[in-house]
Amino acid sequence: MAKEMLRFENVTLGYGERDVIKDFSCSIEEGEFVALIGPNGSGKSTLVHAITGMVPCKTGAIYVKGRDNAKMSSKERAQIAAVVPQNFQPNFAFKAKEIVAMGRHPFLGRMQSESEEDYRIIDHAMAETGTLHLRDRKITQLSGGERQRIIISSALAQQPQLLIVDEPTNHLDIQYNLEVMQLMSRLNKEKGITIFAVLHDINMASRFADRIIVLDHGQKIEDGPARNIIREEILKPVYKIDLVVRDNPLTNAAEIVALRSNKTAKRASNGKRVHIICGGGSGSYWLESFHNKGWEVSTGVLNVGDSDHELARSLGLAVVTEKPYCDIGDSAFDANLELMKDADLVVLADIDVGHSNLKNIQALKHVDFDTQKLYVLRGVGKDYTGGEALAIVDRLAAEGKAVEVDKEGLEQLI
Amino acid sequence: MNKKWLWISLPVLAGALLIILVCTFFGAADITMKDTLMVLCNHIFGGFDEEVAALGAQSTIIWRLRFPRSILAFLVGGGLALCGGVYQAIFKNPMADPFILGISSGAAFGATVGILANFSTSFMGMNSTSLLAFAGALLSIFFVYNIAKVGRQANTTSLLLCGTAVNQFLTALISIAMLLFSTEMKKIYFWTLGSFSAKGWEHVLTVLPYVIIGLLVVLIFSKEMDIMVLGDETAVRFGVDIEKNKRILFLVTSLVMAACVSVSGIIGFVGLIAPHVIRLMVGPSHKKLLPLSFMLGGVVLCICDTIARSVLEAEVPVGIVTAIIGAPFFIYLLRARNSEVM
Repeated sequence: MAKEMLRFENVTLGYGERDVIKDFSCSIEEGEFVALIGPNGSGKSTLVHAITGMVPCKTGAIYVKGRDNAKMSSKERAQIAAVVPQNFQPNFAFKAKEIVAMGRHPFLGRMQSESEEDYRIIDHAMAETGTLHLRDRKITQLSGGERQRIIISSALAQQPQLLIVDEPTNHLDIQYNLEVMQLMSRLNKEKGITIFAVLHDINMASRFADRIIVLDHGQKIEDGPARNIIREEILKPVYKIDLVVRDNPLTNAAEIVALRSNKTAKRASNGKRVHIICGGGSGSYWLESFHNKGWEVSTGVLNVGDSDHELARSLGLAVVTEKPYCDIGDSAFDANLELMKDADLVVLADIDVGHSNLKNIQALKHVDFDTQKLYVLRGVGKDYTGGEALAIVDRLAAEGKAVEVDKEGLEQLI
Repeated sequence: MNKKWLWISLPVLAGALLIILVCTFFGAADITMKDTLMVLCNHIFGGFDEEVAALGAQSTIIWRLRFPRSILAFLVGGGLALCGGVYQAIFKNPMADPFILGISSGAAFGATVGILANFSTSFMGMNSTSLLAFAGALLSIFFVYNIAKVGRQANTTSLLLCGTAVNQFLTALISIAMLLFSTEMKKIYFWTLGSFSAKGWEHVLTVLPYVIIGLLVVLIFSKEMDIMVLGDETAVRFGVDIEKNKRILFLVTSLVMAACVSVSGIIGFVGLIAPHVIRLMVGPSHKKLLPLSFMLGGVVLCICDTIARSVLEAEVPVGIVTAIIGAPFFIYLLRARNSEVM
C-alpha cells in the first residue's frame, strides 16, 4: 500500500464567523493526481490556503507526510510541498530567474548563497516550463501566461514531493493551458510527484486526474476515480447547469458539454410536440433549442452512437433507435412513423441521406401533412441514394405539404 | 560573485569618502582644501603637528565641527535610507516611508518633553532631549505594533492606520505644548525640522553602533525581504516565517531610527527616495538595494547638510533642504512610475 502524502481530518475552515469548509476529510496517497473541482465559492482555494497555513484550521487537522501541519514551520513544509498560487502580480521588478531561485530558499541556510547544484536545479525548472529564454526579463514585464509559467518553475525549483496547484491555468491561453496540464501529468507519472490540483476546468480534471473530489458549499460531495465522478447526475446539481457527459475518443476521457444554466425557473411546457428527423449532429442544435423552449421533442430513427442520439438521450427525449451501423428495421420504422404522425410539427434537419437512413425519408410519404406541418431545412446535406430521397422531398414540396425554411425561419417557429 | 561585489563596493565607498571630504571643506569660514586635508591627516595618521598648530581655530573648525558633522549626516542619512528600504519591503510598498509608523511624532513628542523639562542628565552621550526623543520613538512604534497585532500577526494595513492615528494624536499634543509654552516654541519647532547644528563626535559615537550593527543585521535578512515584498502568500510558499522576520526587522529598524532621530530631529524624504532611486538603478534585490541605499542616503544627507549650513547667512534646518529638493524629485518619480520601473 502506498504511503500517505496529505490528509485532511475533519477540517473546518473559515473567516470570522463564516465557515467556508465544513468537516472536510480526505487522504491523498503518494503518487496520486487528485483534482479538486467545484463551483466558485465552494471553498477550493481556502483548502489550499489551509495547507500553507495561511488559514488556520478551526477544528480538525491537516497532516503532511504524517506530520501535523500546524506544528510544521513554513520552511519545513516548503521542503516537501510547493504551491502554485492562483494570483501573482508582483509590484517589484525582480528578474524571472531571481523569482525561480526563490524556490531554493527553503533549502538554504541564512546568508548561504546558491551552489552550482542549486543553479542547475533552477535552470532545469525553467527548462521544464520552456521559460529559459525569459530568465533575464523582469517579472513585471512578462505576460500573464509567461508569469504563470515562471511561478510554476519556482515551485519546481523546490523539487517538491507534493505539488499543490490552485487553478494553474487561470490566465493561460489554450496552448499553455494544455502544456501546463501535460507538465503536471508528466511530473506525476515520471517523477512520482503527488499532485493536488484545484481546477475549474472539469474536462481538464477528467482528462488528467486519476481521482476527483467534488466540493460544493464547503462540503465534500463526491470523491473517487475520475470516471465515476464525471457523470451527469453528480455534476448537474453541483454546477446547476444542464450538461451532457460523453466519451471523447480523442482524449480517451469523459468530457462534459455545458448546455445552459438551469438556475432560472424550469422551462414551462407549451403542450406542443415536435418530431425531428436528423442524424450525424445535424439535429443537435434543434433538439436542444426546441427542448429548451418547452416543446416536447421526439426524434428517430437514430443509430446508437450517433451524436444526435447521445444528445437526445441525455436530454431525456423520446428517441427511436436502431443498432449501430444497421439499416432501419421494420419495428423501428413503425415506431418512428407513429411518433411522427402524432407530432404537431415535423422537422427534417439538414441531413445526409444514404441507404441506411433512407427509410426515415420514405416514412414521410405515410404521414398526412394536411393537418400538420413538415418543415424542411435544406443546406449542405447530400443525397447518396441516387435521387430517391430528394425526389420524395421535392414532391412533398410541390404538393404544398412540405415547407422549406432556413435556420432563421425555423427559429421563429420555436 | 564576491569579486564582482568588490568592484562595485570599492568605488562606491571611495566616492562616499570623497564627498564627505568635499563637504567638510565647504563652510562659512574660508579654509583651503590643503589645510582641510592636512588637519584630517594629522588627526588620523599624525605627522603634521606643527602645521596644524599654526592653523589654530581653523583646525578646531575642521576637526571638532565640520568633519564629525559630515560623518554624522552621512550616518543618519544612511540609517534613514536603510530603514526606508526595509519598511518598503515589510509593507510591500515602494512608497513606504521610515516615519510611517509614528516614529517621527513619537520622537518629536519625547524631544518636546525634554526641551520643556530641560533635565541636566545625560546618558551614553545623549542629553535629555535626545534621550527622550529616543525613548519616544521606540515607545510609539511598539505601541503601534502591539495595537495593530491580532493574535500573532500584525496586519500591515492596520499597522499603517495605527501609525497614522498615533502620528496625528502626538502631533496634536506637541501643538498644545507649543501653545502653552510659547517661549520654547521656536526650540521645539526647530527640533522638528531636523538639524545637525552643534553636533560633534559624541553624537557620531552615539549613532555609529546602531547604524553599523543595524546595517549588518538587516543584510542577513536580505533574501527573506526579497521574498516578503512579493506578498504573504509567496513568502509562505517559499518557507519564510513572515511574522518572525517582521518582528526582528521592526526591532532593528526601530532602534536605528530612534538613534538617528534622537540626534538629528525629523528629516524627511531621504529614507523614502534613496531606496527608490537605487531600486530603479539595480533592481529590487535587497542584497544590493540596502547597502547601496545606505550609501546614497548618507551622501545625499551629507550634501544637503552642507547646503543647509553654507547657502544662507543663517543656518537652514536640513529637514527643509531635503524637503525642498526631495519633494519635487519625489513627484518626478511618481510621474515616471507609470513605466514598469517599480
